[in-house]
Amino acid sequence: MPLFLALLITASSNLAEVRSGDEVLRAFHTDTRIRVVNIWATWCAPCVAEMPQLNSISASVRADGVEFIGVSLDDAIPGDRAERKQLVTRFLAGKHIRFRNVYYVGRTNALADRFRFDGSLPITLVFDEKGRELFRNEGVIDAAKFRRKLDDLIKRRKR
Amino acid sequence: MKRLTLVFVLLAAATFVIAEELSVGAKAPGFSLTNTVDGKNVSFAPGDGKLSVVVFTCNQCPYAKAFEDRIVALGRDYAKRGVTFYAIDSNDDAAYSVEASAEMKSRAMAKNYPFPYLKDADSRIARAYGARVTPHIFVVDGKGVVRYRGYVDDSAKPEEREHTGLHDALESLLGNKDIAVTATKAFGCTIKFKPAT
Repeated sequence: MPLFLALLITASSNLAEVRSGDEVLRAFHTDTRIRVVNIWATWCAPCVAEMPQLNSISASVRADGVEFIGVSLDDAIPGDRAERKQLVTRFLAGKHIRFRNVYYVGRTNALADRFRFDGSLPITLVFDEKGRELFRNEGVIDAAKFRRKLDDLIKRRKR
Repeated sequence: MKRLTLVFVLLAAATFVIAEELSVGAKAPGFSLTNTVDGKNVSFAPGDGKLSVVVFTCNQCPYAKAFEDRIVALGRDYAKRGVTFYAIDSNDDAAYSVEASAEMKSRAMAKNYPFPYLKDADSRIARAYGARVTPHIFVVDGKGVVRYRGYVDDSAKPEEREHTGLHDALESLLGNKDIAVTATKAFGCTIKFKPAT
């Protein structure tokens, strides 16, 4: 098997499948105090547009105990699941996205109900380690504003 | 000067305000838009006595495409029972050329749309309805009142549907029954609003 194909399959298999919002919250490392969930899809142009900014913010706050998890909703559209997962994996690799992503295979409306959002993507939600929501950003983030909010949270939680 | 600045700030702010999604029970806004298929104007006058379905959709969104055949089938079936469908594309075609009238016409012809495919060139009608995504549905009764809003079905995958929201709403209204679920969460691609001038 060619090396690139082997790497692709390995990367694809690393994209864990989740079936519920609670599973997403359980996927965070236990030592992270601030947990950011970005819900997106490759078919959502605004989601794709904000991904590099989320990537750079996540890298800059990782040392402060902030973890990002992206939740791909690509499976919401009919099609072959394995192919779609590969598409997402290729997209993430191509954009050099470093924060973890999971692949949502549950019902989209159940996710919208769990996280109380109206179905518009993207949405970014911030939780504490107990799963309590601290704030949310509906639509594309304003990177500077979002970073300031995270910084405020980091400062508050250090006190 | 300060007052003038304030006016400009308020105007700029108003530009970016997206209207709230119309509530069930609200009066539906009317419209007169160009049907991209034949270039003729199509008017919707809420309260015209007809049961109507306003469908915000578009050309490029994979989520909307996943519903397209179902919307076409529903449009065809319910036309026989006196229901009028209006498909509207409110995406900014200056930013997304695939949403231009000529592309819309091609799509409507290729898929044999049984309803007009209307260009909401300045996104004004999407704003008036508070439509957020594609597809986003508003069912309006003969008195011009919104009776159902939200999704077509609760899943883009036909085999995973548990609730056929639009179908159920139309069946209830045609049977003079109460609609069990009148408001649902429309999933889909965000409407690419044309910046207001």
